[in-house]
Amino acid sequence: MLLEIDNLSIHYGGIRAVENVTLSVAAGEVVAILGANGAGKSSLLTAIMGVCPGRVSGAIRFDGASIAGARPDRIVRAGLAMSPEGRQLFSGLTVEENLQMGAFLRRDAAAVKRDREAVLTLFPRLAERIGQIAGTLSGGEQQMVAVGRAMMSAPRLMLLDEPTLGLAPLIIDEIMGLVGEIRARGITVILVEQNAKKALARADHAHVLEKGRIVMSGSAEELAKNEEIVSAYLGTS
Amino acid sequence: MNWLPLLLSGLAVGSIYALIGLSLVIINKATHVVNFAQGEIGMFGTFIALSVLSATGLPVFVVLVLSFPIGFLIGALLEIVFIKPVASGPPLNVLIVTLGLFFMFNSLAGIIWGFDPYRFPALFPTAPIAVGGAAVSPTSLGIIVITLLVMAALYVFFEHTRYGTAMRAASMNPFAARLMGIRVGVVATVSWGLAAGLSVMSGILIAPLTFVDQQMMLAIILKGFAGAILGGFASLPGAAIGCLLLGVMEAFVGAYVDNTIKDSFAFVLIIVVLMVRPQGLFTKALKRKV
Repeated sequence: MLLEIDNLSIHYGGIRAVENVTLSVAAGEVVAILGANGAGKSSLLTAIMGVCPGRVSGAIRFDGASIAGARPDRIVRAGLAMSPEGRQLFSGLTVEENLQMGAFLRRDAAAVKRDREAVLTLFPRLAERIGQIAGTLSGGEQQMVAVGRAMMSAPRLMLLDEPTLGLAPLIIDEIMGLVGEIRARGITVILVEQNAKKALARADHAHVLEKGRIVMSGSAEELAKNEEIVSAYLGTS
Repeated sequence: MNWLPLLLSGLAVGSIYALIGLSLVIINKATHVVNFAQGEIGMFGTFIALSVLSATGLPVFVVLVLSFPIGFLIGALLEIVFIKPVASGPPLNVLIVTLGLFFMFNSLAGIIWGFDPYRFPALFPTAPIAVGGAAVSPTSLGIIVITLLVMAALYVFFEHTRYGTAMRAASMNPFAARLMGIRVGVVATVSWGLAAGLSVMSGILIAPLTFVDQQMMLAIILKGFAGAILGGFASLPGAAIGCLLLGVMEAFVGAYVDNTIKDSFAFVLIIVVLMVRPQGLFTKALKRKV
């Protein structure tokens, strides 16, 4: 297993955001984590990346080595990257500089240049806007920068946190189509979404979180058959 | 052509303000406070430089060049020892610590070196040179040139190097910066180091014109702060231009209006500017290259 999470709990003060979550992700898979607002999805991802402000307990192993409690730069170096909820771009930097920051820890200039070309091939729109200040882009373009920036660290596992949040329906399909593109590059994906139908259509496995616990797990196909139940947990219909 | 020497001496004084003003902005971007101790760090470093000068007899220019790395170490150490432990608290706590550092350095300098002013050897020739019929001070020219070089180096560092860009990124979005593997805590340490290096340089540049004593930077940090706000505290180029402008305006007001009002003039002007343009004069225009 590429990523193994064992009995992970996260507390913010006295409040428990995630409780005894155990899950694993195999290399090459797309795993969806579904849940309503506040179910603990983002807490889970930030804990994996080592940037969770809460108290994290439990085990997180990446490629067999423990990364629980490690500094985020070590986790990025190990091969994880995240496109965070709300994009979190460096809004005053150019698109180019944002991508450059994605490769901050890399010293292999030639490979970085290749990856930059690959990102710009995947997002021709960013190539047009390469010198533009990221904060002035449209929401969909900003999401592309966030995904492209994460790709620039050449990760083996990419965490996508609500990549379609707040985007127009046409853009949503475009962004969701990226999941396949990322996977085609051999990158394993954890996709956090509120949009169950679209996420399940692209995932191999899925877990449903409710109030910090996993309440449903299975292959995406199985969960798609029980979409009403999934939707009930998500508070959508 | 008596405006030329006046302009140059104004720019020279403004350069000193600018080095302090830039220090304040760099720390503000990383730590989100105004470092009240900035001037005193410069003063303390100047005393160290003077001690090194008299102990080793090194050329004064070598000491000026060394002042940056020495200042950097002082600043970085201060950040690690005094600022990091309180950095996770409210910014007001950090502000109080910088006030404490102000008094600590002020008293420490007095305890170590006494309270009498020292003379600092001249960095440049003192005989004026004739430029277009006007007598120009080589000291003014030297200060301006060195400051411009420092500014150019800062510009290249922040705009065109990986680490400089990462420092700007960390200031804009520390959470995302950590996700990129940028160590935001190290960025803060480096910011304090850079700022202290600039402050010690400014102390050494002004020292031959004034004297070295523990009060030498009091007026300068106030002017540096004011100039930076005048130009726009959020922007390095804005702050630098604001400081240069302040120095020039002071020189002309002092010469043509009244020397006794030039200090208060500066602050009246700044209050007026802030009423009209709260973001400072140049923040919008110079915020980012296109």
